[in-house]
Amino acid sequence: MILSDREGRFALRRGLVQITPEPEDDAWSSTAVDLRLGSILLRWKSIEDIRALGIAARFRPGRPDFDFFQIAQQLTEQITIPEAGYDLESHQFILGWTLETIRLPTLSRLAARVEGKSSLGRLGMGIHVTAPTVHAGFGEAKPEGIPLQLEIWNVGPLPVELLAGMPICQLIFEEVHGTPERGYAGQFRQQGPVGA
Amino acid sequence: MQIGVLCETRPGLRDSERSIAIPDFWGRKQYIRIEAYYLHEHEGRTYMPLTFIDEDAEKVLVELPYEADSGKWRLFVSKKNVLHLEDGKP
Repeated sequence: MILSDREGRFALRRGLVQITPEPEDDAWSSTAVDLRLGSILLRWKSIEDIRALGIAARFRPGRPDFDFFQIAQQLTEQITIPEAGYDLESHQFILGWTLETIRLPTLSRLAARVEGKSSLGRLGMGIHVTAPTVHAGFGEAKPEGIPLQLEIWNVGPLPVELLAGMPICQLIFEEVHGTPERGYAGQFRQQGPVGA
Repeated sequence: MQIGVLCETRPGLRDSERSIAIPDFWGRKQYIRIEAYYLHEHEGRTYMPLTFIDEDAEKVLVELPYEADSGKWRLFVSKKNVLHLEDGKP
C-alpha cells in the first residue's frame, strides 16, 4: 500500500524513513515526495574516445567478471553542474544522484519507488531505466543514508538544462508485508559519487 | 476542502484546454494546462479550484491536480488570491 503524505511525514518524524535534508512542505504531493538533483554527474565517454583507449566498446553484463564500478571509472568523467546549468543533450544518457540521502531501515517495513516527474517526461526526459525499486534496508549501512543513483536520459528533440537542486524525481513509499529476513545487500548498497 | 486560487488564463494546446498561470506567494508563476470547464469564474475573474492542504496567517498551501510545468505539485499562495468556492467569499 502506498503511503499518503500524512503517513510519509509521520514515518519521517518517527525515524522509520530518513531523508536528509528533510523535504520542505511544498515538496510533497498526496502520495509522493519530490527529491532534488545533486551537483555531481557522470558522463559516459563517446564511443570514439572509448575505442581510443583500446577497450572493447561494448558492455558485457552477463560475464561473471563484469564489474560495473571499474567500467564506470574507466568510461565516465565526473562533472560538477555549473551554476549556469548542464545541458543534457538529445539522446544523451548520464548518471546522477539525488541531493537528498535516503535511509530505509529494514525493520521499518517500508520500501520505496523512485519515479520520474511528468513535467520532465513531457520534455522527453527520464530518470531511471527500469530500476525504480528502493528496497527495504536501503542506506542502512550509513547513519545518514545514501543518495539514490539516477539513470538520466533524454529522448526529446532538444537539450534539457539540468540545475543542481532542481526537482528531478519523486519517491513513493510502500508498506512491506512482513519483516524482511535480510536487509538490502545489493551491489549498489554504497552508491553515491566518489568521495561522498 | 476545495478553494479557488486567482489565475491568469491563455489558450491551451487544444481548443477545450486552457494554459493557466498561478502566482505563488512570492510572485513566481506556476504553469499548468487544464480543461476550460474546470475553471471557476467569479466577478469577472478566473479561479482555479485547488485542494487546500494547510495555512498560516498570510499563506495557503494548495495542491495542484497534477504536476505543473516547473515540477511543482504544491505551492504556497497568498490568502488575498483565495476564494472559498462554497460561498464565494475570500
